Amino acid sequence: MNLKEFVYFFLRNKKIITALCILGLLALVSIFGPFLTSYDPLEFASAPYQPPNRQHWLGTNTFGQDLFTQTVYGLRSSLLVGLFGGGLATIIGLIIGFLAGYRGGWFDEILMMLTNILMVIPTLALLIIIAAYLPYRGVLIQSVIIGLTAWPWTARAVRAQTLSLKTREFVDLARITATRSSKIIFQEIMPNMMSYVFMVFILQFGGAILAATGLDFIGLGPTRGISLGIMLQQATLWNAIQLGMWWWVVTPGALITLVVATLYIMNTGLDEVFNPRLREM
Amino acid sequence: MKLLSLVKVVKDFPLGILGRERIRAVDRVSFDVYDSAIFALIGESGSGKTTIGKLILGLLKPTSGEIIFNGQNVSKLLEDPEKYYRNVQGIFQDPFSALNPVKRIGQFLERPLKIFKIPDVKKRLKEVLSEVELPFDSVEKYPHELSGGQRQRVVIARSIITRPKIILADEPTSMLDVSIKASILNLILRLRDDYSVSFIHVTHDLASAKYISDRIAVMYAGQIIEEGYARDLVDDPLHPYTKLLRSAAPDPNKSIAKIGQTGEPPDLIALPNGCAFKPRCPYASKECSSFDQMIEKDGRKVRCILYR
Amino acid sequence: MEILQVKDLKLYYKTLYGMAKAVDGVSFTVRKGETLGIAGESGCGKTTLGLGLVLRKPPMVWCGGQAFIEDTDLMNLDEKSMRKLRYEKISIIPQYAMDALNPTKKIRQIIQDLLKEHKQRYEEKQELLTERLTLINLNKKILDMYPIELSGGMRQRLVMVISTLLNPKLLISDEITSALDVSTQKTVIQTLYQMKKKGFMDSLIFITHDLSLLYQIADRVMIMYAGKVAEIGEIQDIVDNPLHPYTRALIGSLPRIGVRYHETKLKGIHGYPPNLLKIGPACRFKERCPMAFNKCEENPPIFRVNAQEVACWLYEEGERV
Repeated sequence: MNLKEFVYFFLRNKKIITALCILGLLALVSIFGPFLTSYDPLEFASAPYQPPNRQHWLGTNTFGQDLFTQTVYGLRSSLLVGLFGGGLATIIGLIIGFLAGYRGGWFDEILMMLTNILMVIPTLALLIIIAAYLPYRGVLIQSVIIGLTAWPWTARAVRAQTLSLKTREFVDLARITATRSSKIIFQEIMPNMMSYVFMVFILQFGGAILAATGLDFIGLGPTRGISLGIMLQQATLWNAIQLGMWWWVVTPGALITLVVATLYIMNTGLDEVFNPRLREM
Repeated sequence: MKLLSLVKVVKDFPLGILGRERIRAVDRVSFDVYDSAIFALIGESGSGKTTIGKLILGLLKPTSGEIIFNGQNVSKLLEDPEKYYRNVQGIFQDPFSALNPVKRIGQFLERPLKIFKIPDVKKRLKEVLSEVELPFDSVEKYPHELSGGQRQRVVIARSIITRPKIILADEPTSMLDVSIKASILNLILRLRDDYSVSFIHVTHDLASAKYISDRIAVMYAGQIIEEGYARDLVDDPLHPYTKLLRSAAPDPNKSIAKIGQTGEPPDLIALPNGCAFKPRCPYASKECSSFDQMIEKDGRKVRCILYR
Repeated sequence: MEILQVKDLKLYYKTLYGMAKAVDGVSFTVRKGETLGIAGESGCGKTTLGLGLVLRKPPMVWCGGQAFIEDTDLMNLDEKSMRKLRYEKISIIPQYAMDALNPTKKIRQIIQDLLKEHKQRYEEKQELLTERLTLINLNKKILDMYPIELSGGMRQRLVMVISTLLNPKLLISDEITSALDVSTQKTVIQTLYQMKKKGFMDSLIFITHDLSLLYQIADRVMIMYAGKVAEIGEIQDIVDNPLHPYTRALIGSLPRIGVRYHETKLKGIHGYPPNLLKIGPACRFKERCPMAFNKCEENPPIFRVNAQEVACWLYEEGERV
């Protein structure tokens, strides 16, 4: 597919445009949101138990912390976890899958054995153990933990892609022109895998956000700071629903759902762009 | 002079993860290709002809046996790939997957010039493009702007850019339309005559093999079952399989009723003992299960008990 | 008597760069009991034509003309009535027939579903089915297998039986031999021939890029070039006395067995087919035609010369069709 066709179908795909708009908006909120509030996310700002009002747009919680402030900061850290954690998982998966597929032989078998072992270990259990052993946890550390555990399926998928690409005739042609392996990898194979890698990254992005929320929710989130998952955890801990404080739960829950759903829609859209058979004319 | 020889070349592929079981894709294949000759390797899918091509190009390593180019062992020559590939080149079947879609034709052709450090890039590009009858402005084009026949010409241009001694052409015309096919075959002939380059023409088409080749070897289930001069082999085939191929070739003077049942292609995982063609052979006898050797008779080679 | 009558049929593809005129005003007939071969090179519209008669879906769009099978215009049917007609009146064996079977169903189930859709009872057809399976060398045990358990060749033969189970008036076979080895190609062609002889279908359209295959199976041949009919005639006339310069060139570029380059030089056709998106008013073969003259600036109508129909200005004295 050439660039013109890509741009055409990309811009004409309603799913992609909608998803891009939503994601752009969320990114803007997470970047500029903190400037719109004069509070600190953990500061006891005002009277507790306030439903949304002029002063506190999204109300306050049991401690009188401003929930709007918490939400924008929380969104920021959730998106960061997605970016770093998902990015790391994609890169590791890409490298391992690529090496396994390209080199083949025993090298492939060892790497795939490792991958399969990691794949059958329940990731959440592993995450809990690692996270519980770390006395200090920030957003970055959390991303690394998630990234280090989420790559196996990516590696498998990338390996399969590489296996099919390396038997293409243009790769053979490059080899019989005595082209160096590095050139074959980066100039012949990689460019043909970009679309696929991009879609994998988006899936990993959403996966990392969900994994982080899960960790936060069981109390293994960042030890300092705030995230959407921590907001949900605290809301549950302090019986927000039983006390009728719906505003404490609804915003973070809805935001997480929105982000993950949007990413999913984005991926379906991209699938349509890259795969002509799914395209609607 | 002998340019390229295969001596009892075997290639096994492991089956399954543990690799305990093996498929023998190429079984004790030997042949010689001479200077400025066109040698055809004919076979149907699974016959091992493409694997032989990959072995010669160094894309696969033989399990046993030797491939000898210009008196030297290819596995040794491949230690210096630049030198080997300057002399040995390849053309593949599918002109659509042979060109990277994101690169201009010029970029595609320039890379070998750079790697082999050939001076005067622009002049040489002009030369090879005119040799394959393409206009020079093709260098500015992307693959999707060219037709199948034009793409195959680009691939051929690339293969002759280093003035190699031998070119392996793996089904160079099978994906092309008939009207284009003939002109590509003629181009191969002209290149052979003008630059005395040898070709190994891998194909499934007896007619086009006879049209351009000097010698033909017919493969079945990994083995060469008959080899001889193109004229002898096609006009008077010896092996029952070659006869089958010959009778299956289209002929306006022959009605459909004359062709018998042709049976199923061989299953490489469960080959019979002895002659692999036995299950499909109208002349098969009990002894075929224990017979498996090449017979040389009147300068022709055939692997069949009928000529013992 | 005619089974199929196609009149000025236009089937285009909607693409980014405009309409690709894949089939552009094609007229022909298929008579009862005959085999019509359609030959041409890639992009000539033969596959579009075959598929378009049975199933049109985007990006393929119908842009005019009719196709009557008996008295029903196929171009004027909604999907529901078309579904009823398929298999009963008109049926197709697609190019990749071996991949056309649902992999999650047993073969018996696939056949039962098909019969149910056409309100027929499986039990009544069982005997016929077994008989036909035997004819193509398949054991009836395969009915309890999944498609994946059969080899590609077996699956293809199975599709041949399934698509003719309801004895369609017309069977279209689209490039069914092009993925096969030479030695198995013949078996498939022979099977088709026998199926027609035994009356599984009345008439057959055999689409191929390989003109030489038609020597053995076709009664009449239609040669297509860039979306148009170039020539229609009896197979023997086309082989012995091709009229259209394209047909001549096509036959001249076939490597006949037993020919070597220094005896007869194959000619080939210089140049390449036109881009279907940018078709002008001239004859589509003009750029590649050795006989082209000033009249060719205008697209030729079809002239009748003896029993042949040919779209070429060289035959202007013939009767216009």
